Amino acid sequence: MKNLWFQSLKWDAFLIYKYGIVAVALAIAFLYSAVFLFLNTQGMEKMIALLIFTDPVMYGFLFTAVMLLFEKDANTHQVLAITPLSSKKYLLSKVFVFTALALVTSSFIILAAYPTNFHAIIFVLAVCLSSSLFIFIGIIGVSFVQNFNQFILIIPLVLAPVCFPFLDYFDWFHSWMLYVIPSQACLILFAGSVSSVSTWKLIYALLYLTLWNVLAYHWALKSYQKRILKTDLK
Amino acid sequence: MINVQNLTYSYPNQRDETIKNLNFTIAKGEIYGFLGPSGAGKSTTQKLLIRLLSGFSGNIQVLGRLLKNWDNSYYNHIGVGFELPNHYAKLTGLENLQLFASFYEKQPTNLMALLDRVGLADAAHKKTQDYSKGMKMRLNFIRALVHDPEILFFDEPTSGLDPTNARIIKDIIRELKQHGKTIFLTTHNMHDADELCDRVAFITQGSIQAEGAPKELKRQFGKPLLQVEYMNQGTHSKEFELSNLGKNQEFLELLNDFPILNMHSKEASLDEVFIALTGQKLILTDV
Repeated sequence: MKNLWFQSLKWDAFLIYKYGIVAVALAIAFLYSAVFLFLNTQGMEKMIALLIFTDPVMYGFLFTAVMLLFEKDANTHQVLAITPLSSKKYLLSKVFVFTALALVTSSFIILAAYPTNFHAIIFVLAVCLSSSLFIFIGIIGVSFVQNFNQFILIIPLVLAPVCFPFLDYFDWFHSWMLYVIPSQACLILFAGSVSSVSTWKLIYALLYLTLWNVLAYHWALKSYQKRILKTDLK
Repeated sequence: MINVQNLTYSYPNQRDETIKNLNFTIAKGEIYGFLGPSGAGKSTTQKLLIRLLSGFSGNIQVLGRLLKNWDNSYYNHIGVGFELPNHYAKLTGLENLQLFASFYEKQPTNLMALLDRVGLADAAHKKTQDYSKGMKMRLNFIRALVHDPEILFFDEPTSGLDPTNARIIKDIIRELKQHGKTIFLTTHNMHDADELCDRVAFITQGSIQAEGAPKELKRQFGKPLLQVEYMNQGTHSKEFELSNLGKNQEFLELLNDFPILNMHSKEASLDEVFIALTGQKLILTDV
């Protein structure tokens, strides 16, 4: 019996390499790393954590969308739909591959900024939970559009609410309402990986992001099956 | 192999039924042609059979099991050749085949041999973005065969192909039949259907108007006449009743007295049968 998820993983990794996504991701990571290597990062924890946070958001939301739109454009979704590979395995494979890419590139950046002085476990959790969440959001976003031009139009709709918690992060404005936005939890985890954050905030961030991941996964799966597969097919 | 009973389907948010009470069966080793004009419901029927659309009423039974009772393993038993090319542009032809073949239970058949069979061996390591439409169509076709399925669905398999490559594809379809494969062929091309299909169904506005062996249908709607063209100070033509042709004195004399240019029975073409039955002509695209 073949492990179809493993097969899908193997091919997704190959596809993001072939479509140049790995090259772009590594180039961005090396650029950030080079800057941080020559910069005195003392006292810049908040800014660096924020920059690292944008990494999984970017790979999750934008790159997954780009890859799915490539596939949508080539109509390969309908061919995959007539193989024994299930939609669940297809989506989880995408999540795993893009999260792995985000983990590698984010690791380069944080190692350049703080070679020894960061909390590895919190950092890995921050990258994985943020990346997977934004991959699901990217898939949901793609399900509403037909091409990249349309996708560009919906990017602000997603990124604007993501940015609201920056107000709290930089101590400009505090409200419990910001804790409803999942990027608040992401920022807390990233901040926690390079500085001290209270335990209750870390627990909130982990639980809240896990909950959001579960909800976003189900929404993404439904969107993929209902809008990406079916629209392709009619 | 395939048994369809009272199949009815409407697209979501559409009041009208796209498929209306279809009934047909396809036996093992049979090539069954589904013929109809644009919007007739051919492709919709195929999508229902390959589970790309759901929410139909009626029953579809494939390989002795109701379609709703199959899980994803169903796809190990069927192969689908789509009407339009759908490949990963940045992957080579061979990589495209390897990718999709890796998801099936059966070990893939010799992929290079398949590529060679349709004249793509030299382009196996070329990215499909550099393929012509005809090359992409041939790749589409063989992709349906990589896991050696029992049932094959082909949607306009010769569309966009030059006569030589169309001939190769038709030869392969015939070979597949000889190997016991069951084939569901969706097409508007009456010549392909006539040449390949054991039985055809004419579908218009979501309903099957007629079904039968092409030969039978052509005989049924043709005239039992033989047309003879001969030379007698110019070209002349005459028609004779097929019955008792061997005893027809006028016919025998004509054979003896004049050089014969050609002889044709006046059976109807499949096109003519289609028009006679449905009152419609075929056009190129379908839903």
